[in-house]
Amino acid sequence: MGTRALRRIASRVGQSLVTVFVVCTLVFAMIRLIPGDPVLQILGNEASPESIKALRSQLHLDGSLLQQYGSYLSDLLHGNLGASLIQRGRPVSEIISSSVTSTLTIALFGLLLGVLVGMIAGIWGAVTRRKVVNVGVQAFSILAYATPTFLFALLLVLVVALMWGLLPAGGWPGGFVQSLPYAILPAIALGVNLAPKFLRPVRQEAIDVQDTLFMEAAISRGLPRRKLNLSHVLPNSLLPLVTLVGISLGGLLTNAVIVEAVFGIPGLGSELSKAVAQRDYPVIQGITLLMSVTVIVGNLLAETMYQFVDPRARVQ
Amino acid sequence: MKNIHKGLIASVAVASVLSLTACGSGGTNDKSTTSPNATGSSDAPTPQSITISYPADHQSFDPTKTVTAIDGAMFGQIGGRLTSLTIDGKIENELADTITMSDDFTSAIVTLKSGLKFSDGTEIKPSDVAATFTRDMKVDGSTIASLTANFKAVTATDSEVKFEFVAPFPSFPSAIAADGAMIFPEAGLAQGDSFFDNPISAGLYKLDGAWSGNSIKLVANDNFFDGKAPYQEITFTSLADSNAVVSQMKSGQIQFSADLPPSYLEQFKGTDVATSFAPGFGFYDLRLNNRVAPFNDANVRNAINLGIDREALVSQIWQGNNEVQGGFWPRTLSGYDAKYNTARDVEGAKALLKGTECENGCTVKLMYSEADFPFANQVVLLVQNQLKDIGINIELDSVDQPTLIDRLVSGDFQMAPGANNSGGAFPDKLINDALLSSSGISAEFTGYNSPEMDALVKKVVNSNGSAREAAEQEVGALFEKDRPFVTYATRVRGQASSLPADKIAIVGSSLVIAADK
Repeated sequence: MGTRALRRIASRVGQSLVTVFVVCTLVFAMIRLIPGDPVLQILGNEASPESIKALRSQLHLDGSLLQQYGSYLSDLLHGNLGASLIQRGRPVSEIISSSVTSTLTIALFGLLLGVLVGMIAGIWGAVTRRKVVNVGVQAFSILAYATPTFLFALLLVLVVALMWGLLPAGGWPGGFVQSLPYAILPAIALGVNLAPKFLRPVRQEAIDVQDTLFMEAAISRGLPRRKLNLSHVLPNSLLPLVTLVGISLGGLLTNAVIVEAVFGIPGLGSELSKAVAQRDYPVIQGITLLMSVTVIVGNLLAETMYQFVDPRARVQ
Repeated sequence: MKNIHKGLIASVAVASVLSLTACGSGGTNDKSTTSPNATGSSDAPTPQSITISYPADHQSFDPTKTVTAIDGAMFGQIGGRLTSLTIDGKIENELADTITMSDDFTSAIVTLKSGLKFSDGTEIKPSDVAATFTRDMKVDGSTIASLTANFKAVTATDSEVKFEFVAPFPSFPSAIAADGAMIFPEAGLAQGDSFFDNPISAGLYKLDGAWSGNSIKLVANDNFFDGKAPYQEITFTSLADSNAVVSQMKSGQIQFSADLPPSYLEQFKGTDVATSFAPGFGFYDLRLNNRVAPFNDANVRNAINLGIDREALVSQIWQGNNEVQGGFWPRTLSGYDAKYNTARDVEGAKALLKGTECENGCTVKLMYSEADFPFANQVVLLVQNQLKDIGINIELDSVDQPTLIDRLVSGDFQMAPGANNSGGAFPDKLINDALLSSSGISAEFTGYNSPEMDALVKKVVNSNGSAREAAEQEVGALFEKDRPFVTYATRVRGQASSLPADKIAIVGSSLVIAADK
């Protein structure tokens, strides 16, 4: 890789750091601008002016916004995400580490499934001569794209878990191996929703590849169809996947929040929605920071990898 | 192409029908499956391990730092208390052997049963009781302040604990049965906050490890002094989504579920899950801001009372499986009087509105949050419809829960659906919170300020026996006249269970598991 490319990557890393800083600042400000007081959430009917004052001071919410922001940034630079206000002193890093496994498991399996289904169906739809397969792939693509994730997740619970009793209806026992059966339906729900996003560009790319001159040359040399598809169509059709996977991370995490709710999975999404509902500022800040860093790093990696896999990008 | 279209339409139609079946509360009203006290059967085999779900989240194992129902339910199982609530709703001595109140109810002497042990096998001494309550009293911003604010001092000798109260406190034996009034070892408390990461007490169960995801396991406490735990292991799981709870109950992953919305309980029809509504020690109400027009006029408040149709509310929300309440006292407390459960009287309401700001109709904002009650949407629409008949136009103001609480506390509302309840079968907390002008929540957030009512509240709280009963009647009568807010039904908690009802049930506001004796 040339100096120019390295400089370009360094510049993108710098931009990403600025974006993370802006996200942190915006989230900090926005959650404090909306109405709602975590102290009142904690005290409930036991709130009295004295107890409110005492608790606000105990939770360090009595300082000015600027003081609180300064202390947040200082903690952040020291790698400290703070402690939950509602779960009284529980470190945010502990909340994240206990919930990230389930989210990562279902998101990664969902992504893997989405990529595999999208890739196979996309290429199959492009290279097949059987009209019924082509129409079937397109119908699947439209249906999967149009069906909301929550709806498909509910259908999976109803049919696979309750009617057929094949898999658990939800929950997350903890421990990676024990939890694997619990990850299957959520991953399918995520993967099926994601697949059309990969399927259509891959299919289009595969169709375009078949019209190229090098394909015509390969056909004229008498290469068998299977070899043509595996050696020429497949590798050349997968380029869009590199960027699409990076771009889809944001949507994947959003859908994971929905899927976690349907299956009652204690993941990052459910922690975030609880924290927002209870105005647990440090937890909201910690999880949004993690999610935004994930999306930004995902995009950065996709862009960087593209430089490696596509020589044209390096030349340009 | 036509065939493809047909296939697509058919798929979408099937998907829609299935999704509606999955999402909706569905079905017609069949009281036989959703009836009070219909939970479980004693003949069912007893599993060794059960899972209990609550929609609330865990906050802390320190009872002074949490208000959530799941924590309360766990405290009920792991906590040893001086007195406790039985599964048939009675208060009985637990760790306490005797409780002797002074004649003026300003102090109490408690002796402990002999041979009591914490779950770690160490002896429970009077000094542990004194240390626990002394620590509870000192915590700033404590969530059990309504109990500990009654205590002036708690001291111990080798054989007894002495409680001194700031004012007569005849409800003491009932109040210390609260889930959060659990006793901890003095040595443990000396460790500071870290003790509450895995606290030791003396209940029927003890904690087994920390939270894993949204679940935590409790195991039977072999040192429990009074019988054996009916289930060897209990897993508590926090599950906010009601559809997920229903699915997991139907698939057998969860055996007991608390606080399910009323409309969801119908989904268990035809299954082995029995459902019921446990009456609590409180009410559902419409909070009226007494500080602002038009509700600064008692006639308008009383007109609302006559204008709402309680029977219709109970029938629509709980399918008739709850009872109407028109007066202050719920049917579960001694001051209850059915004569206040008046029927709807539209003409009477209109007559009361004459000469008020609403004589020729008025518009009122009704603030609510869907997260506050699972049936908040239903209540506000029904009330909106009903009050139209007396010329009061309701504008709905939907907010999220933290905003709702903020605005209730600051008095920035006109009308809002709400609920209140006492911690047990004694009136203190309910009457203090809902009627006392100096209460932390300004008399059910209404700002109601009546010196006469304040005096009556003190009379109820400080007296006992027939004197208390007479004072309760006076409170009921004054409430009827002033009507600071409008009650419409008894507070209930929906429960779904596939376990025997004589082993596990919600009683009042507590989850009670009966030991095998």
